[in-house]
Amino acid sequence: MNMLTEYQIELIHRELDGENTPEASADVRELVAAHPEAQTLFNNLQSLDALFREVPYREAPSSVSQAISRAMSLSPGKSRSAQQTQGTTNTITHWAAQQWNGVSNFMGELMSTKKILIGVTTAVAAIAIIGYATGSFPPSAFEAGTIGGVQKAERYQGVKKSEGDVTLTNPEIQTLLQNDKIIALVKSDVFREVTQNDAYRELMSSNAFRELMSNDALRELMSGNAFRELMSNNAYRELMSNNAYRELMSSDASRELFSSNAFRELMSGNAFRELMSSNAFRNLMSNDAYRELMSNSAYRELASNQAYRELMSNNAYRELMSSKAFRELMSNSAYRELMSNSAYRELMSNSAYRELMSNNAYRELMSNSAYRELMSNNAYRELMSNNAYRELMSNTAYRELMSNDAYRELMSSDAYRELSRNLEMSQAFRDQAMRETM
Amino acid sequence: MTAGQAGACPSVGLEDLESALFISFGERGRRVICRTLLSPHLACAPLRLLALACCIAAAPARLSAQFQELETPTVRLIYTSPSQSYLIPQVVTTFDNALRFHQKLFGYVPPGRTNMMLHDLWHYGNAGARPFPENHVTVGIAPYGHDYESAPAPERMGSSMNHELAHIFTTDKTTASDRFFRSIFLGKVTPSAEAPLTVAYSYLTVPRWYAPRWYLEGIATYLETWMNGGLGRAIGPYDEMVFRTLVRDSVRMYDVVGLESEGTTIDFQVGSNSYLYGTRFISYLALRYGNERMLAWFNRSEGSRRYFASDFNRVFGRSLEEEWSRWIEWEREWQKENLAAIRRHPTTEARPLTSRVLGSASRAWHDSAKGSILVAVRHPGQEAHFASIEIASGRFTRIKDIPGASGLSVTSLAFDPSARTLFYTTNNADWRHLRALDLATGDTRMLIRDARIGDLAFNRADSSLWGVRHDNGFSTLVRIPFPYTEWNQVHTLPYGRDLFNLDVAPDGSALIGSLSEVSGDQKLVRMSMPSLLRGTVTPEVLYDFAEWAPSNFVFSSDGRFLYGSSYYSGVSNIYRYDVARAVMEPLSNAQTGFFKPLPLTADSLVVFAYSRQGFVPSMIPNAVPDSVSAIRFLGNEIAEKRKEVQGWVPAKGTEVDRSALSAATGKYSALRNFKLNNAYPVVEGYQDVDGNFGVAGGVRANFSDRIGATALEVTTSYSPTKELDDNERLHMRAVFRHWNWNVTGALNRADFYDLFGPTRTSRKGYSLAAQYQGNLMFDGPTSLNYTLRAAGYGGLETVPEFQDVEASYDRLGTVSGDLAYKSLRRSLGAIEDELGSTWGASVRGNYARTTFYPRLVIDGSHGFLLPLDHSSIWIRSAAGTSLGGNRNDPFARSYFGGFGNNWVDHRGIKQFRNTESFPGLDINQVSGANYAKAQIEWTSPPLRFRKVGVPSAYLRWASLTTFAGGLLTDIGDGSARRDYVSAGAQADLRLITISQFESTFSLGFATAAGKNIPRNSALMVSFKLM
Repeated sequence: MNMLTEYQIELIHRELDGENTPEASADVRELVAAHPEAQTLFNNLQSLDALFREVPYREAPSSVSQAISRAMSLSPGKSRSAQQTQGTTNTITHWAAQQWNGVSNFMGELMSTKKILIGVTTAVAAIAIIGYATGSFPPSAFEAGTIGGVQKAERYQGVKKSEGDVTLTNPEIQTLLQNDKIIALVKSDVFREVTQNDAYRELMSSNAFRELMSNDALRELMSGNAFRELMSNNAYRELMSNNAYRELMSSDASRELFSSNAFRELMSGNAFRELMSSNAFRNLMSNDAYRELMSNSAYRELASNQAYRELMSNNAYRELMSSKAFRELMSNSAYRELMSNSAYRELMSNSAYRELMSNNAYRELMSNSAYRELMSNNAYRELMSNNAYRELMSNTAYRELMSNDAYRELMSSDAYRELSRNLEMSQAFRDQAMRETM
Repeated sequence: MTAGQAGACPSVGLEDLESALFISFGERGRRVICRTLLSPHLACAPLRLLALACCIAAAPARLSAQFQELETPTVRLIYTSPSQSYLIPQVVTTFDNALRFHQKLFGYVPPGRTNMMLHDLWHYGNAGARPFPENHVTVGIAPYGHDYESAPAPERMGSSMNHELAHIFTTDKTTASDRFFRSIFLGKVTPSAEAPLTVAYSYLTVPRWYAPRWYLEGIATYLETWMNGGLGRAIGPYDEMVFRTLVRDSVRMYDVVGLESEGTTIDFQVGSNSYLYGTRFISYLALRYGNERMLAWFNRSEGSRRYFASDFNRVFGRSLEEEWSRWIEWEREWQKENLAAIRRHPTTEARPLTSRVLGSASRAWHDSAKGSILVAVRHPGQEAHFASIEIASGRFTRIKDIPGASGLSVTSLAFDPSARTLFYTTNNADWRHLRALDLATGDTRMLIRDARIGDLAFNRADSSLWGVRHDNGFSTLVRIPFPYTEWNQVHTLPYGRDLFNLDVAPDGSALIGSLSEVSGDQKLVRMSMPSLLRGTVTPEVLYDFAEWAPSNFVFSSDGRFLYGSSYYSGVSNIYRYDVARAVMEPLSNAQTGFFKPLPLTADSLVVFAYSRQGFVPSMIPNAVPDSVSAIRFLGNEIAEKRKEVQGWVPAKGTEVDRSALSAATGKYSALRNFKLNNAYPVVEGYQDVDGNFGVAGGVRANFSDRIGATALEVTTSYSPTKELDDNERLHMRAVFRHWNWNVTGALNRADFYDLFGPTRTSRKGYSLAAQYQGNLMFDGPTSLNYTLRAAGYGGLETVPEFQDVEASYDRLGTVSGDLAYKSLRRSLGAIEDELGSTWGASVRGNYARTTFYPRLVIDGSHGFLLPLDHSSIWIRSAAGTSLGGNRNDPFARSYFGGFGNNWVDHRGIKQFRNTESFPGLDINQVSGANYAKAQIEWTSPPLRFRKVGVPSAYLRWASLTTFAGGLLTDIGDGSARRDYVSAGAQADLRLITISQFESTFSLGFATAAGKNIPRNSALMVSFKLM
């Protein structure tokens, strides 16, 4: 691959775009036959091109089109190809991250159910969503002994009280409030600000939220290892505090996406699950070349032909194109289905989204194993297809909250991160108690 | 454990407030409530009740928003934070179980719901009950204390309900005559000092409340023990030890009067003696006469006598005093047998380290650098303090006072020998603070305020502190890393389990402690430190003493052994655990009890030997005795001979519907709970400006919500005498309180105490005043309060502030702002505050006839204890000045004179301490537009009466205070300037009537002289009713 020149790469692209002269086409066939790298690139681009051709075209809003045109100054043909290539890869990761964010936001949401517990309690309960408890009480069994030389005094003993004589309601939740990190968090200004936020309160009182809180899939998800690990991931935290990400989350495009039937079908269908669990996808996510490409300034600066050409000659890009994972992905039906989603396509034109795509934390997160595991988690997928969840995602209050500075600060705080790692919290969340409390 | 009656009752409500509210409300509201309710001034129920109302009124309004309310058919449960909701099913279940049991036992169904309030303002769990104006139970949800196993109990909600409902049933059950009076007064009457006739009304409506504390606690503790399956003081090893020690030392036991007059005041056990003697006497009665007869004494059934002592005669056919004496004789024989059992084998002789008896003592630490032990002690007469006791010489050195010491363990204490720092806790009954004392400099510093952490242990390996934190009913093992300004959760135990008596291995490899279960069982456990730091908590049981608890086990310096104590033989002996061999061996055969061992060398260790006056640090050999015999327990005898007690276990009802409880819970509404408590006739006195006097008769009605946060008192009376003008015969007064607010309206105000004089508060005219009282600081014994007040008066003839001072205008508006700081403390057994400081500043303004008369007043005081127990020196000073207007106008001047006491009074007994008082002169005899005043006084140790009186009326103590002072008025005004001096003394005699009411007879004499005033002497006689 490294042996191909810029001109040769350009020839291959032109060939696929039908722009070569017959002579040039002959040169390409020769090149492909003689050089495996050229063969690989050609095949990849051909698959990609085929995929894109299957995506129904929808006219973007004129304002968006103009803005993009002004920015990129690309010819329509090239533009579509390049843009969609970028969009294809980024979208999946972004989209997954978005879903993930939705899940993680529940922790924030949970931070204040008001009727049953005070905001503090609920907040902490929400945070409790991660990990397992390793504490072990009561202590190991031991038979009462006798002490040599000492006569044991008799003491009348009637019916002893036992655990069965204790009836409590969700003590696990209150146990959480004994955690110093939780107390610190709850006493923090950002916590107070979040819980006093109108959007937050509105969200807490929404039916969608309450329904979701009683969802088994959510509880299972929250108690998983992958979720817990991800919560303690630095990249994730950075992402949560990223402006672009926040803007994206509050965009109309996101809302439209979450409320679309296609999205729901996608979430509930096998395609997404297969994609998330496919080796191809995972390999791609962990592919160095892919990551390098994502961080390549030229790639991001597709604003000019020159940039595009640079991309074409980029080693990482070429390597990616020839990777098996990428090829498999390109042939993945779920991926293709996604590509056909109009909301998705609109999202692709969102400036915040594009900015997000260039965010280091985001990219790092995409390659995180815990994140990938979560993406392929059954509970997660089930949650994604849950009506209440989707309703919540499109909830205005929810979106406002997501864009709230205090909320973001809270979510990215060290205290919150510590909580995310707290083992006892996840125990609580796994219990029936949590659901009842909510 | 449970405090039951008077003491605990009104601590009642409010404390709950903050338990869980700390997070949402911060410290302030909690402190206001907690401090007021726990004030040692509030020894009797009425005062505490009043305090309850006051502190609720002073609490931040936001607190009210946190109150939750739940009604079931039997209980109205009010809890101060939603975070306590997890306990509600347990509270309701155990309440209903206990209720059914007591209903069957006493044949009585209390009318209506019982009010119950949960709170979390104490470090250790406790509870209280009172029968008026409605049946009310208060429960502090923290884990129980475990000191010396003095109050063993299983799961605390069940224990509390078993105990507190015994109070309700024994005090609330009525006969036809009781019900008649309740119908007359429209309810049960709460005694009020403002209307002392309420004492009689209250006695007529709730007669069995008026019994000594030992009577009330004795039956409650006795029943609780059996209802707990035998776990309680009726089979208590501590109780056996107390009486065994009295017999061994041939010391008298308190008689029925002496117990109340002296035993609960000067003994280091103080109030605990009510439980000790009460439980023992009731147990004796049950053993001797049977449970049925014993219970007949507590059952207010038809034909029973109203007064508890009279009813004793009816049931047992002899006087209470006589039977009490018989019990003491029986008790001596019982304990002699136990002592004989102990002496069947050689007993361990402990060599006292010092001749001084410490009273209560904390865990001790070995200061090897100084060859001494460090310990916190608390003894009647002196403030609790740290002490160093040289091991070789026994020299006792007082190091530093400890504010907020409490209980039998004084404080939680840990020692860092390398930094020579003592770590300790203050506010020990409340939310504990963590503090440090630098032994090198003597400086103390606050480490963590409101840490709520006790059972401290120091890890020398990493200089961290370990402790157990109590919060919202949970015990949490915490680590406090250097520099000790924050704690980290290690593990929170499930509800019902508690960890205490921690110690850390010398190499920091392990942590040991005692672990208590829901059943009340306690085990000695060890936890690996590395595992703990990883967050894995798997306690390993080192030794199970079966039904006997391990206490205060500590590591030897080489970590090979653990030393601690247990009542395994019924007597608290020292035991040594060989870690390598996993073998437990005895090290003593004590006659009284040895506790809190501190290994010094391979040959010897320090123990705290129990004596009747407290604990004595002593040396015993580190050697295994031949044999140790067991003693017998009175409770076991009862279980054997009176087998019905074995069936006294509350039956479980149907499982509570938690969803229904949750659905029925809502925010507490003062308005919905506002109701008429009672109404009764009153008699008042009224005197007009001409000296015409009228006796008025009328009615007072009291309204309040269930927790007293909102209350209305309305009094209306009429003077039929024709000596008064027509428009002065009707008297009205209404006081409305709502949290921090207080609004008072009056018309021709009259007062009961004006029937007697010479001080009179009755005033002609009408008035309306609004007051707001807030709190800027409330920490430990220290508080800083502010009060804002505005009032309007009309139809005046005299100045509202000063009697007999003619007003220059009949209408007046006043505003004032007061700031008051107080930090006062008292030693164990004190009769009043003995040391500390106060200061205050106030700006007051009178507005009359377009003229404003502002005044500024400041005052301060400082007192300190003398080496003589309970004896203090106080220095007091005050100054004030008029800031404008006609300085000769009565509204601009301050007036002085007199002792300040009324012949019959309800205010403080030492009125001569007030700024306006000046003994030797007549009331308001002198005045000044400005002034300066100073006074010094000496309070002598009180004289305690062992047995002067009968159970229904007896003397408790007498005290003498001498004082001298000077007053300057109109300073700077050469011709008008005056100076006066005064010297005198006041003797006070405390009388207790029908067990609950503290009255004081005061007699004072003073001489005063000054410029243009001939030397004048005055005699003061006063009787403070309650």
